[in-house]
Amino acid sequence: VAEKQIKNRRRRKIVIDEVKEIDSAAMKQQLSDTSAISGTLELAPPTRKLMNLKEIGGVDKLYTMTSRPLNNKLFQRMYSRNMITRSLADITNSNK
Amino acid sequence: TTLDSDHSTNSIFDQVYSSQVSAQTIVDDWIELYKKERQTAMLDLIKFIVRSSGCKAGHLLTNKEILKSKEFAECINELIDHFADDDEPAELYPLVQTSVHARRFKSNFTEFLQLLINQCQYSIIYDQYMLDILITFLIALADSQVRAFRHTATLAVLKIMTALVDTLLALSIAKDANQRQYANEKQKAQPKRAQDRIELLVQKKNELAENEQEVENFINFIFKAVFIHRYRDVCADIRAVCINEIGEWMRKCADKFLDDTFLKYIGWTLYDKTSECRLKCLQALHPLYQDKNLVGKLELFTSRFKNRLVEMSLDREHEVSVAAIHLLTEITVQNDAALEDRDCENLYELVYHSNRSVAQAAGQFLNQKLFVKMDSRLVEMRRTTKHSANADFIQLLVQFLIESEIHDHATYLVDAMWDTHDMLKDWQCMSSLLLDEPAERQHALSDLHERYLVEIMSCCVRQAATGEQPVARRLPHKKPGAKELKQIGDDRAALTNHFIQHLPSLLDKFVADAEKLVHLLQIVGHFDLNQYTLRRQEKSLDRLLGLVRDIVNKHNDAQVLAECSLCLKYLCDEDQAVYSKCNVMRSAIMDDLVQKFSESMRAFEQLAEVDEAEMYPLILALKRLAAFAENHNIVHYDVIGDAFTILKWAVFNDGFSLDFVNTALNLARSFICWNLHKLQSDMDEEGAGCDQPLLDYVAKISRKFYKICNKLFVNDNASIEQEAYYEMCDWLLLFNVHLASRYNGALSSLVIHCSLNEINMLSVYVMNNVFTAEALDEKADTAQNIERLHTRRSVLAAFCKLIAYNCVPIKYAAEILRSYTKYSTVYGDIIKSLLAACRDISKVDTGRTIALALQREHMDVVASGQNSSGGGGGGEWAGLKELAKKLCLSLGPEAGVRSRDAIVAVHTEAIGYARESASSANQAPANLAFLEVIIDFSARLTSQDKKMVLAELDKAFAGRANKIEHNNWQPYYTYRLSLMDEVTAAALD
Repeated sequence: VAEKQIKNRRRRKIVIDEVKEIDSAAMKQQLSDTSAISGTLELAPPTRKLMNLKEIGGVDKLYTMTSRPLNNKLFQRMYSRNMITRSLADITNSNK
Repeated sequence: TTLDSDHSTNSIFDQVYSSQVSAQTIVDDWIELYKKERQTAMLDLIKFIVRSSGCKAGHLLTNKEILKSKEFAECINELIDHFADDDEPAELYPLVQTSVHARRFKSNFTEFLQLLINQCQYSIIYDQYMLDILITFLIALADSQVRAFRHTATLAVLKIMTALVDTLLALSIAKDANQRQYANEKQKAQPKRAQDRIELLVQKKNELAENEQEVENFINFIFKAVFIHRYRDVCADIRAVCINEIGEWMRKCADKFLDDTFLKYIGWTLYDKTSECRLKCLQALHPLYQDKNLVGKLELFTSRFKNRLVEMSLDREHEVSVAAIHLLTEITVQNDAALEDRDCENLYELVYHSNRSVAQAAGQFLNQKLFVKMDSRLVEMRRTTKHSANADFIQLLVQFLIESEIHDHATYLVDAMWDTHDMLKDWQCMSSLLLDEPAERQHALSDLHERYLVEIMSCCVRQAATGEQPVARRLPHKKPGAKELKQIGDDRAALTNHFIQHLPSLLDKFVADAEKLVHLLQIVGHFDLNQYTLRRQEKSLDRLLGLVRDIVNKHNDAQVLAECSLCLKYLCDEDQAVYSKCNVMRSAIMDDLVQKFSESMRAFEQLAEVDEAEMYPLILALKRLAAFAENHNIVHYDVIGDAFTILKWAVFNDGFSLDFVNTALNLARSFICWNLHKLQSDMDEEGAGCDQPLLDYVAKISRKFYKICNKLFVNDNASIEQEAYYEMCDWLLLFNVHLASRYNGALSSLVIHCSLNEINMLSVYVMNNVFTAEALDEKADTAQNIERLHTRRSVLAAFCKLIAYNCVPIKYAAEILRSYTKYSTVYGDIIKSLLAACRDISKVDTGRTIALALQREHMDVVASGQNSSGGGGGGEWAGLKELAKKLCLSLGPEAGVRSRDAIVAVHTEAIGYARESASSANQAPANLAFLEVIIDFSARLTSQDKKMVLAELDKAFAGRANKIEHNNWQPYYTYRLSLMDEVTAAALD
């Protein structure tokens, strides 16, 4: 019994395929049904409006841009200078 | 390592693995040994294969008898039993290791084996010993249940087969040479013939035929014994090896292998579940279809599998799609009619795919079908017409875009074709098509064609001048290299030189067409302004500026006006020589716009009664001025009073259009921003004092604006309400507490604090508009739904920004955190960022807020009558537990260290919540079950904190709980157990 255990322990370190070949039924099945390996048409934004939403709709942009659209980069920078997160401790200290 | 005994036996492996010794040397050494002691040499070779499979038991192979009997199965079994050393960890075998070294080994391994066969091809392989033993052993090994053996041996024996195919080809050449020599000799007149030479040639011929037969036997043997089993191996890596090699055989020796009896294996594997195998098939087929001489032999295969190949253009893996489209393009190159129209149309649509590689591959296919095909036919025509070569192509492209039903703009089509066809930079050709009078009427472009051509041209200009791919197609953080920057610079100069001259004519021709103007005006923003002076084109600039002014005066379309404003801003670049000229025009336009606005205000104020027709001149004047105020400094014009007047009307009168209110908001915002900008830039420059009167002025008008927004926020019109909401949030950011921390607090008086009442109003707005039933049910499928989703996300983000950027205390995040799990698919990313910001602001408050969010959810669960998990555990209770788990995970894997205070705060709050709830005489407190909710947070406590929380818990409940043994105290005990460390808990068990 002890010897068999050692054997098993050693065998466990390697991948053993009890079945080595894909059987005919599985082969036939995969020839007849490709749904699992087929994708769908992932379209780029089909209109300019949707393209724009894609550009500004990500979480990064939502947190760094003004909520009302603003075309002026100079102003956008004035806003983003204030879009910083400071700890309460910092704010209280600097107010003292 | 432990190689004492192994070292000698694995010398080939060591050499191959180390890459220090050339394959040639290793092979030479081995052959030398083989000539002296062939049994030792063969054992070495076999041990080499065994070791290459990752098996360390090669030293067991000492019995040379095995080489005689060739009964390998038994000894392979023994190898399996001793596969790995006892004290070594389980190891991946070399072929599946991913290190650079292991990958190099794989190519060294195959190189060695192929060179070995190559060097032995003149005699040793025919000695009935070497190849016989080697192949028999490999076949046995390739049949093992041990994957490492099967994979390694399959690769080895199939590579050997590939080398044998080479040998076969060499024999065939030798046979031809022999045949020629023989024929030459035979032709000679009888007396000159050398009989002994002929005999020699005949002898050689027989020998070659015998060898050929022998090699063919080996090849057939390997194919039958290995390939036809392993091509369907359960292990995908092994299947991929098979397809890779069969492709090699077909390419090298088409006469024998490029036949449907072999091609079918590739055909079947096109359906493989593993993408790597499907890809290998396409890669194997590609060079075959590229070879004109072979393509005839593929006809049957093409017709049989063409539908599958078309289907693969939309494979689950983009890499496979790309390879499939490339292959279909190659098939079309050889036979333009190979694919049916329907298939082609499906492939054309892929130019609009969101994946750039797929779209570009489809662009090449489209190019092949539409543009290359025309090439030869057009060569003749071109000589006789003045039309540029690309004119017909461009018209076809326009036609293609018009007929595309799934996209209505040119951006992605242009990007897909960008690297494929040079017509996209043929500015001369595009302009000529738009400007020149066609010689024959029927060749004139329709209005629709013109519109799309203008759009295509504008997209091409953008892509050439920026080198940027459109959104969804670009790789994140990819910066252009030096070569690309050079290309971009050259392209910009070239397109500027062209459009400096021709854009005015185009604007002039389409001056009444808003849609075309929007695209045309965008071109200016990509000019290299230096070119105006370099090329002495000041006259053209005058013309352009004049046209911009005309367009502003003629149009009321918001987009056209915005483009005019941006275009003029781009031209008014203080660092450019053209600045003064442009600035003069700008001042003239601004003066004019301000004057007209103020005139229409006065006229409007005089009116006793108002209807829409009378408002129109004012709306128009406001629109034009607002469009310009956003990009051009208006601090010197007094317009804010009138803007406020309009907004106040909107507060007190219903029925003002959103557009009108929006525009007035924009004008007021721009005016205040310009003043704030002046205030700050003066201080930046001088670094000293602050303009006190200006400061007071900005404080006054900014507060007034904020108040007006507050009033607009309680509007009956939902759209105006939303704009006011956004503007309030933005305004609180622009004038938040961080403004006071700069310039030594000089701007403190500008800070606008959000009152509790305002916070509540904003928060309620978020709840009513963001966390709705539609938000959960609506799919982001139609354009309208995507827009609505975007709106909800923007509303949520506007409020989250207030919390994240210190405008609103973080406890107001509780209502949002409550919905983290339920709405995670639509808002998960936004809420996650909010939580991260909260932690940065205050760990303790974040913990409290999390506890508060959970408590509020708990109250709802209680109210709906599902208390405690014991009572059947309803869906809502499970939802609450899930929320707790997710919030706990959000604190990160090292929460115990980095968010220690937050974790403790969650517990403290929860205990307080449970303790303070009502309880009748002998019953547990009503909210005791809540303690179960936060059990997930217990594991995150440090052991020190656990003790502290435990003490607090016992202080709150121990006195009461211990007296009454009653079921409903269970949550207390369960929670208590979770606070003990493992040792204590185990002791209790």
